[in-house]
Amino acid sequence: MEPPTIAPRPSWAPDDGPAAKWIKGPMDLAAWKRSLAHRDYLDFLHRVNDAVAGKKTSQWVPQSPGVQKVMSMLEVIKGYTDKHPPEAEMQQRYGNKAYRKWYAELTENAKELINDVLEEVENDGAAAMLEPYLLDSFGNQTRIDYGSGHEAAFIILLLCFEKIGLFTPEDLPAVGLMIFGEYLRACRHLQRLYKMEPAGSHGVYSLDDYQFVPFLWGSSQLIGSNFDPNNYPQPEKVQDHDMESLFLEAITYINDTKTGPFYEHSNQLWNISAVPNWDKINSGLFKMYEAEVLLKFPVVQHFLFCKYFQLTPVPDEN
Amino acid sequence: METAAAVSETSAGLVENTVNDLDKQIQTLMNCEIISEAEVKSLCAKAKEILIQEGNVQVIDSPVTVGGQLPYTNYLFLGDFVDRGHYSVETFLLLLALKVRYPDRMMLIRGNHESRQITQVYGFYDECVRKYGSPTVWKCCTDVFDCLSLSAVIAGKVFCVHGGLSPSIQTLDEIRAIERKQEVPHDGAMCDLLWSDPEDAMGWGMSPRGAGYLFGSDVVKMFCENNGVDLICRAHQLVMEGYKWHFNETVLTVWSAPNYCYRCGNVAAILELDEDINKEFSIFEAAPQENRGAPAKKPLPDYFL
Repeated sequence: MEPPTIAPRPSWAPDDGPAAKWIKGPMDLAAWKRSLAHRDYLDFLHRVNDAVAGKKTSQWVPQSPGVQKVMSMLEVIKGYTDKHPPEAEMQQRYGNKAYRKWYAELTENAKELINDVLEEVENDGAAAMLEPYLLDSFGNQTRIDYGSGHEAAFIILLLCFEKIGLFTPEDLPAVGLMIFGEYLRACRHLQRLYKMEPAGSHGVYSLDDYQFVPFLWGSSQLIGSNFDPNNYPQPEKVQDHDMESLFLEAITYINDTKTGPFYEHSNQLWNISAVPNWDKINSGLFKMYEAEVLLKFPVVQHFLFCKYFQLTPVPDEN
Repeated sequence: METAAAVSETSAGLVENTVNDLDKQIQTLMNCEIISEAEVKSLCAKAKEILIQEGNVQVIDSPVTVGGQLPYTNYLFLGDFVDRGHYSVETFLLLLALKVRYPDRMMLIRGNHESRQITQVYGFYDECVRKYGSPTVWKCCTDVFDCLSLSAVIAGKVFCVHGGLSPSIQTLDEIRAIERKQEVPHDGAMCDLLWSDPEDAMGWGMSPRGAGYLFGSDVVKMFCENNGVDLICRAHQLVMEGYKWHFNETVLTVWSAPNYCYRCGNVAAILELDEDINKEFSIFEAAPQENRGAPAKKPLPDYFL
């Protein structure tokens, strides 16, 4: 039985306000799919993907002051956990409620943190606009959970920083390897410290309970390497190589935090290890990401849009 | 001891559902093996016949095991039968077979995952296609989902629902008035019952899930008073200890999936209520690893071929 017809909403239009949600129902997915934001997001993912191809996480890459500022910001955010250690277990449902205090600290400082990052760049007061992305990058305050939507929020933030002019084209490898690598380590620290729940995990159909993009960009890093994909389900084969790729670092984290045989707890990754080379894994993961993350309402309903990430339709070719 | 009525169907595709057939199917499913598509169709048809006769607020007498031993006690399952795991198909069909076999002993209410939209995201659809080669079984099962009741009341005192309360619902009669035989809506009373969560703030709050609401102890107090119940028993949220009391023991969360996502290290719980609705909890951990041996590696062809 169809719900009563409601008058259609006015089309989304960019303004100077803070980034906000707009996708209300599955009927909005079509608008998202043909938007500038969707195009720009995939374009950004691909450009960073290409920039990190064949590069080890541990190798030196150029870092402009813009990159260094974001790295400092991540360090500060991670450091807030020192002020908010986990509280004694009594009466907690699952996640530790000290996370909410950590999150309050982030909320208090978010605008200032972004202003510091954008200090040297003309930004028209972008901090207020971008603050919601930063606040959505590290999980949900109420549910004390983290998932691929939060990861996407951080990547959108980076995309916006690039639009504003914070990064040079030479910075893309650093964006993927250094910034994103540090971001992941900060998230893992939070996940373990505060016992964060997987948010909307697809369970055995997930690549991973928390992340997707380290496997995406990480597989690009391994293109041309000697590391046989068939081996990554075996922890002892990954151990010595995990600083070569975000992919392997993510596998180590899985091995450290999940129980039982790999084929059972990470069945999709188990299956993918049979793909003959990293190129095919990389292109396959892009298809999977587009279908399983970017086109699924439970994830994208939380996406935020602003002047730098617009729901406006991509103009027709003609 | 109840016996299921024999169903002889002469229409194409349906098979007889005798007690013997059901017991065999139950055994097969308990062994984590699938039954045939024809058997699924027949089972779903019979289950729907039974389920549509149930009200939106099922009346159950104690003793009850929420989440004993059939057929000597009543069993109530609070929803979320499918998605995320390896054996959603076998799990749901087992519950249906038990329902058809012991219709007055087994009660199933709907969770937010008993939905066409949700099961196309979280795995049940994919599992059906993989195990049966087509979406037919998924379609049969989702049609059954539409027939599932929304809630239950045990011994007039314990209100059971998958998620929680709704600002659109003050009384059980208002739940009874809901037209439930439909896909779970995006908002409104039926959606809220399957999606809401208790939270420490008073009154109603926006849910971070994007569906349902957060509700406080004051809301619960009023609902209990209005409806003469003592307790709201629900599921929907992971609990480290398997069960958790909220709001001065007026809300209880029961969570029956141990070691969620093979990472959370939680235990699972089952609530047992005796004739006088005294409460006892059965706690259990994840089953020990069966050394089935590593399965073949099968990368998803849509993406990796």
